[in-house]
Amino acid sequence: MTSSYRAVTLPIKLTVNGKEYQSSVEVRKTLADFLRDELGLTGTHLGCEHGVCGACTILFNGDAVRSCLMLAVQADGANLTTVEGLAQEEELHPLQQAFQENHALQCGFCTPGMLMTAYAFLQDTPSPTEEQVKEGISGNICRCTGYAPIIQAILQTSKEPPVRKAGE
Amino acid sequence: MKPAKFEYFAPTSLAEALELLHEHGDDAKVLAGGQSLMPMINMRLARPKVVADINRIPDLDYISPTPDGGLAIGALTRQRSVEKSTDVKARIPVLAAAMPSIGHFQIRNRGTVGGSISHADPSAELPALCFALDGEFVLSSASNQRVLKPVDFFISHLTTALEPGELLTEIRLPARALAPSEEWRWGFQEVCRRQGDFAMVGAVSLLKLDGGGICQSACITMFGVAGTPVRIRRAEEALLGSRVNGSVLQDVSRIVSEELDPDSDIHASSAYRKEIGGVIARRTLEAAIDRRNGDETA
Amino acid sequence: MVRGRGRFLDDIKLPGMCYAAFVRSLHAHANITQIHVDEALKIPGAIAVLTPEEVLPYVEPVRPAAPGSSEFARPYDRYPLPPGKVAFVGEPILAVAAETPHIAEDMLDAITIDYEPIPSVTDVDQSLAPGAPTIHQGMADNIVFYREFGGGDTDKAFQQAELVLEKTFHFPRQTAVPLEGRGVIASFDSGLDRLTIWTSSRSPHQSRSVFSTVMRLPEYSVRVISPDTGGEFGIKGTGYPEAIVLAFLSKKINRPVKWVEDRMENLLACAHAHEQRVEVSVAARGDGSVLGIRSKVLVDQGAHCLGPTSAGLEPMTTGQSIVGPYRIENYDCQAYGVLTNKCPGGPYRGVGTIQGVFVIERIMDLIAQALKLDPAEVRNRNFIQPHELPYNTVAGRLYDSGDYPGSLDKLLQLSEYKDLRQAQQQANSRGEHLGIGISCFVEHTSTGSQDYHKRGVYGLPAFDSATIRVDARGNVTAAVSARSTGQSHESVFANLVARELGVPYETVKILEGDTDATPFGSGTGVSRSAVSTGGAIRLAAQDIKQKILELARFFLENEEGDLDIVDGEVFVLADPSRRVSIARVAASAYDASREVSLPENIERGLQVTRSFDPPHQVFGNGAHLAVVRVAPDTGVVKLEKYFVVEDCGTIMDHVIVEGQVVGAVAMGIGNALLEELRYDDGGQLLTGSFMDYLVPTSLDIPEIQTLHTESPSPFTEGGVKGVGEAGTVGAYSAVANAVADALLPLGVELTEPPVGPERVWAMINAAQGNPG
Repeated sequence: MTSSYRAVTLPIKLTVNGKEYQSSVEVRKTLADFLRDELGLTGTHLGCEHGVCGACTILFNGDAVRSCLMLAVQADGANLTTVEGLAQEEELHPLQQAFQENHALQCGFCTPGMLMTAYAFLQDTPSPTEEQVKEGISGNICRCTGYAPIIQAILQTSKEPPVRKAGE
Repeated sequence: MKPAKFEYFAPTSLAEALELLHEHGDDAKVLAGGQSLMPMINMRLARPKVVADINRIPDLDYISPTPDGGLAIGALTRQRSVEKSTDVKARIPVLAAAMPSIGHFQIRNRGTVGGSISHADPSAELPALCFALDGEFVLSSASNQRVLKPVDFFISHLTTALEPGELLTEIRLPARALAPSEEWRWGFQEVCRRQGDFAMVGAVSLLKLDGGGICQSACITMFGVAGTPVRIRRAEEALLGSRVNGSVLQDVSRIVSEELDPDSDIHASSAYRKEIGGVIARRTLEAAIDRRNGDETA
Repeated sequence: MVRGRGRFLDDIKLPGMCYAAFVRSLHAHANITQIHVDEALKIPGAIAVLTPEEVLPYVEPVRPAAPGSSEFARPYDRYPLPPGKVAFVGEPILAVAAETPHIAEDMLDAITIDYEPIPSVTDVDQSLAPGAPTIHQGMADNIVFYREFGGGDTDKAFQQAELVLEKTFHFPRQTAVPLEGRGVIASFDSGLDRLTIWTSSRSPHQSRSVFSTVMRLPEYSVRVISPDTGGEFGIKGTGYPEAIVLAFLSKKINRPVKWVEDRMENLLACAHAHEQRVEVSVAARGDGSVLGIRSKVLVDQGAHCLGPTSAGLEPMTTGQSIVGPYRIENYDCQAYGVLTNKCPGGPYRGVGTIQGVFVIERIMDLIAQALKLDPAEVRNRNFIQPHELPYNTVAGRLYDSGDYPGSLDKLLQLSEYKDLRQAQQQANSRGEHLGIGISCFVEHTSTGSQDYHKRGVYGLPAFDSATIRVDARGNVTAAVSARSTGQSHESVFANLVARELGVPYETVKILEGDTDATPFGSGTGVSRSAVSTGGAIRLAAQDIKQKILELARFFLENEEGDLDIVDGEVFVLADPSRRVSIARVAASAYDASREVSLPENIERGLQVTRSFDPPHQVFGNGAHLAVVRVAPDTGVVKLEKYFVVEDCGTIMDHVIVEGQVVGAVAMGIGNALLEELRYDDGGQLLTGSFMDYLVPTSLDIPEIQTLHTESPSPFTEGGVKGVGEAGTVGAYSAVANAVADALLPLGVELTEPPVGPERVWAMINAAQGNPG
């Protein structure tokens, strides 16, 4: 079984927001915990750790996923984007801009997951209807805003095609 | 809410994975999409000694048309791939239509077909669809391969016929419930507290009518109402040979309710599930009859 | 925040920090006979355990309302870790510390506790039954709060009644579930003999008071810092044992230690709320006007009292809310807080008010139903009229300002009520079940000391404070006692300071959430910050402005005429071309200017601290309308439309008020349709995850149309009122009334939210005499 990993701690190599990282990670550590604790990317939040709230949503090889439901070791060789990779330097991504303009965040805790979900959603559905936006973000819980301004922000962004790629 | 300790393996070939499962038997848990297993591991409700991550096996992710007009789906195929597949839409439209009801798109991006089926949650959509479509499951082990029908595979709540050392590797779905132009018609409905939640009650109905609207064949599969998906044979018999109209549907609805003996849980009581089961079954049949105007959601 | 650069509690890492976790009770009521920790301490990376016995000698017990006191609450002692006995499933029994959160949980797995279960009580009836086991030593029974209040003559009202309604309402247990759970970091500095606590709390100063009282420390030995907070909604207040325990743990191991509650702990052991039974009798005239009400409010308090106002919070608030915006002159209320072996109850957005409003708004609809009147008309026949304000209610409150009939009228116009009713008739004639629900309410905000005294609560500081400092370059810092948990204080308050002082918004910085950097005050809560902290800011800004004008005269040839400030420049009103920048004036206050020489009798510096204690609660009002469609065969409720008329006095910031209202309506919709914590008969929580405790998603919230009106309060600085909770208050009953309205043709009786599919189905069965 030479090609298998077998250890309690494993070396991994991955790309996050365009930057390469190498690390040795305990196999039981979730990807979300790894990003937060070891890479210091604390924008990815933990709201439930059982895959319901969506606060930990990141892009895993381009797909929006719950990072609390993956192990860090599973990200070996992967290309990830977190909320920290959405803006280019000081320039906010149009989605971030729209969230600010529409007061689409109050406490801000769900915001990173919501942004990453919205980003992936718009990649898939560049000109969505309001109903599609509602369905698109229905896997992300916000307790503050009542969703309306978030939906507004996403619709506003969708009217500015093409959506710029994050972290590029 | 942090996982207990486990050993982790990521085999890179099927043979290697089966060897690994053979070696560790009951101690091993297969990690596929992780959308059911990982919450349980995080909560320490599951404490496997060994986690066998099959995500690095390259040849388990495919949707292949079969000569008989059906599909063979690799166990590691993501649910999102099924949802987006034009082959699925063309060949088994009921499957394509039901996919958005599974969780949310981020869940479907990771969640696999084989994972959902192996997890065997009685409220889940995929086991019920395979049941309704009379699919076949290919179970592989280091020394053997066998093919089981869903009725033999699903044993009870979260329990399947998978033996220690065995892995579900392929799901075969025959050519049934074809596009609306074909004679098979279909309906899929579920009642959930919120969209994306597990169903309190769900139904998949397949119906074959002749030119005169007489029922030639019927399959009514209910989920969320027992330890496994169940077919309601007595209701199917009531449909056979009849012109499917309001009073027949009324009867069928009543029979479905009579036949169900669901459990109660936090989301719905047995009595509710029993009665609503009949309502949902009728709605899927109505949708099947009027497929072109059918509505996929409850 | 949108960049992911927020700094929430779990984002903070201190050098040498380790991680705590809690062993929690598996039993609802049990004696602890033995604790086995040896195996846990053998785990590599394990640091320590902290047992109840270790803590006991060094702590003062926490009593209901502590560090204040309540005249109507029955005292008992609670310790941070329970010595000898547990009273609810999830109660923390002991703490562990480890090098990683994973190892801390490994330690929990390795610890065993020997329990000796004793009979438990899991509802108010069991708790009040003769011979019921008492939950706390030293109490004769399980009644932790009791008060009778009211006024007028209800006997006479009922004699005169032409219509009498008797109803019992059951309200479910719910909880706020902010997306970020509770969290604490405790760091004891043995060199300085000083404790620093980071806690996601909305009231850092009150938190410090609790630490200081329980740990017998002077307040100067404790610093409380509240970082960015990921939602709060009432439940991250003071008084949780875990925070105190963490402080001890840090002291014991001499290292910083962090605890972040996970979602299971949050649902199991963070404050629960809202569970009540309310029995009412209502006497009305034949025209629908209400003569009098008798009510009995039974709050299922759980095993302990939490939060500063403690035991009386829900019983009193509900009891006082039942009279609503209506002229009800005869009222008797018996308000009970009853202990049970369940998670302690605390405040959650709309606390107590949502149930009181639910009761009276259902009653209004039931009167309409009985008398075949339109629900809006019945309300119109009962409203307190604008000219009657300020109005002393028979329940002991003083309504300050508002136009209650006007709000309803605006709502009916906004929602095109007549057309809605027509559409409903058409839909119902097609066999559909469309329902329209109205809710009119007043909502207390900004409780001050006087109001606490009226409720028998003393020793609870109800003022807030602001320190404003203009530095030598003219930049402004305002340090305030409130702590934003998503209410955008930093922009609202900065705007307020900028407006009051006449300086650009960009030159103002708000400081919050650190007891070392901000003046003492109550903190955020009871929808109060706009009023109390806002009031303090206005007062301080006025003082500073006076001082600036006084100094400016030295730059303006000792001008004696009126001056004002705009855009950071002081100018002479009579001749605006004569002006001086605030920066130049401020420099002189710091002796950093050679332009003028100030006389010695001028006090140097530009810094003022002021406090504001709201003299009365002030009452927002509103009217909500919900339209629902119900599928009677499955019981599924679809919320189709929602309208809000909101009056929170003078509006400080429209965007933020809109955000608060819409967000709170969404939460109220969750309360009405989805949210319910359930226990089994043995006191085990059945809804321990987000798979079972359901909060609304984007698909559950319809478009919410709002209209804002302003009735300034005569009692507050600027006429402002609070608004944080109003949305939940209206939505709970508007949605329920709409569902009841949809099912009216089926004879359904709705007295118990949330109205999920199964409850709707069961109500229909009950109405039709089916066993169900």
